[in-house]
Amino acid sequence: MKGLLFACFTGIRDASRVSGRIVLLALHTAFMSLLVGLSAGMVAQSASDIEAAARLNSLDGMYFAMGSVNEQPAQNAIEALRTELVSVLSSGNAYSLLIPPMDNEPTVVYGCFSRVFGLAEPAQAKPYALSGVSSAHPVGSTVNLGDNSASVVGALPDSGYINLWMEYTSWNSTALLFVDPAVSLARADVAQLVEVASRIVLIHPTAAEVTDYTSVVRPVVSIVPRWVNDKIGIDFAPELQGRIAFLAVFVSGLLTTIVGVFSGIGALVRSRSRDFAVHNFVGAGRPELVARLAAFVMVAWGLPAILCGTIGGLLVAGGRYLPIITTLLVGFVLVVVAAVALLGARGVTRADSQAAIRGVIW
Amino acid sequence: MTIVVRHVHKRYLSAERAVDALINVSLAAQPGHLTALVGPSGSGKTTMLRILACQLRPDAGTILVDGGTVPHVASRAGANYRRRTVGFVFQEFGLIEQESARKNVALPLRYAGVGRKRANRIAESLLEVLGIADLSDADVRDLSAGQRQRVAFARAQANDPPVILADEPTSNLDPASRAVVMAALDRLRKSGKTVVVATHDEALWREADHVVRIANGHIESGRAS
Repeated sequence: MKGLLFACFTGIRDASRVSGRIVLLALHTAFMSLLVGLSAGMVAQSASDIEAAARLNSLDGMYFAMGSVNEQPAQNAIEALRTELVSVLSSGNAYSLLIPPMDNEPTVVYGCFSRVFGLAEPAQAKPYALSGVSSAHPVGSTVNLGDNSASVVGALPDSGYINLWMEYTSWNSTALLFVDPAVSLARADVAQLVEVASRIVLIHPTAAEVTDYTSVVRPVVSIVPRWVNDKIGIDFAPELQGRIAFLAVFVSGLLTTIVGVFSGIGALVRSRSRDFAVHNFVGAGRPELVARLAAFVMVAWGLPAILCGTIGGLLVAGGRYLPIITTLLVGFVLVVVAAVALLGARGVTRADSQAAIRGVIW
Repeated sequence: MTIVVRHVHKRYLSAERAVDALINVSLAAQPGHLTALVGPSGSGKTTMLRILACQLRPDAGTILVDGGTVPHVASRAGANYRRRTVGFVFQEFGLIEQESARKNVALPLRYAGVGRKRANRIAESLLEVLGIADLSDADVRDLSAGQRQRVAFARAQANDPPVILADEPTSNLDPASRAVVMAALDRLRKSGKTVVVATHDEALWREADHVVRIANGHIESGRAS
C-alpha cells in the first residue's frame, strides 16, 4: 500500500513537471465542466418541473395565466371575488398560495394543498404551519404574517411544489402557513385577492365550474384557464429538450478534453520514458504504474472537472440537484481516469525499456 | 541464493530480421561467489543479465533462483522479485538524472513500502559506505561517471537483495572509481550475496570465482578460479 501511495505522489509531481500543457488542459476542462454542471442542473430542474406537474396533471389540474388587473374594480366585484374564492378554496378541490415578497416570511396556503402534495395533515385546526428542513422557523416556533400567526407543528418532507408559473420550487428553506380561507380572505386586500385568484389550481374542474370562476374573477383581474397537461406539452417538454441539447453540446466539449488528457499522458511518457523504465526496473509493477498515471490524470483533469462541475451545479436551483450531478460527474471522471491510466500503463510497459534507459527516444 | 540457468533461448525479432541472442545457455551462480559473464559486444551477456533480473522473458528454458522459477516480467510477482530479490547495476547507470543521489538510492525502498525518512536514512548509510555521503543531496546529473556508478551500486543494495547483477560496472571509469567498484563487488561477494557481472574488464573477471564465456549467444567455456 505504501508503494502505491508513493506512486500516486510521484504522479502528482509529474503533473507539475509538464505544467504549461497541464494548466491549459485544466483550464479548458474547468470551463467545460462548469457549463456541464450548469446545464445538467437545468435539465434536472426541467425534469423536476415535469415530474411535479405530472402529479397535478393526474388530478386534471387547471391553472390560470394572469392578464391585466383592473386598477379600479367595483366594490361589489371585489366582494363577489372574495366570496367565490372562499367557496372554491373550501370545496376541497382547489388550492392557492400567497407568496410573500421576503424570503424569510412563510408562504400562505389555502385549500386542498396538503392532499394534492401528499402532506400529513395535523389534527389541530388551522391556522398552523409546517417548516422546511432548512427553514428559519423550527418546529415549535411561531410564524407571523400580517394578522396571521401560527405555531410550527411539523416538518415538511424534502420536496417542493408547483407555483403559479408552474416551476418546481423547493420548500426546504421556507415555512408554509395553512389558514382557513373564510377567516384569512375576509381580511385580505385587493392585491392579495388578485394573487390568490391568479395562483389558484382547480382539481377535476367541470366546464361550468371554470366558467363560473372566471366570470367572477375577470371584473377584477383578467385570467385565462389552462390545463396543466398543456403546460407540460407547450412549455416544459420543449424546454427540457432544449436544455438536453445544450447539455449534450457541453458534454461533447468535456469529452474533447479527454483528447487533451491522452496528449498530456503522451507528453509525460515521452519526456519521462527513462524515468518510467527506471521505476519499473527497481520494483514499480503495473499497479504502481497505473496509480502514478491515475494520480497525474486526476490532478490535470479529474479535479478541475469535479470541482467546476460541482460549482456549476451549485449555481442552479440553489444546488438542489448537486448530489446527483456530483455523483454522475465523479463516476464519469473515475471511469475516464481509470481508462486513461490503464491504457497509458499498457503503452509504457510495451515500450522498449532498455532503449529508454539508454536514452533512445521511442 | 543459487541461480541455475538451464537451456535458455532468447530471440529478438525486428521487422528486418531475427537475432538469436542466447542459444541453449546453461550456467550456475553460487552465493558468496562472483560470477563473470565475458565475451564480445553483442554476445548476449546483457540479455542474460536482464533475463536473470526479470526484465526480459526467455523464449525457452528455465531459470531457478533458490529453487524457484523467476516470475513473469509483467506480473506482480515479477515486480516483487525486482524489488526484493535482485539489485541491478546498469551499464548506463540507470539513474534519474534530475533527482538527488539520496532519492535515487531510496527509490527501491519506497516501492518496497519503506517510509520516506527511513528510506533516506538507509540511502545515506549506503552512500556513506561507498564514500559519497557528502554527495547525497547532489543531483545525479551533476555527478561524475564514477560517482554515478557508486550511486547505482548503492541503489542496487537498497533492499538488501540476495542477488546483485551488474552490467559492465567498471567500463568508462577512472582508476580510482574502478577500484571502489571492485572493492564493492568484493564486499558483496564476501557478505554471501550471489554476484553476477557482465564485463569486458580483464582485471575484473580475473577476480571472479567463476567465469562464463559467451560468444554469439553460446556458452563457449566456463572456469572456476
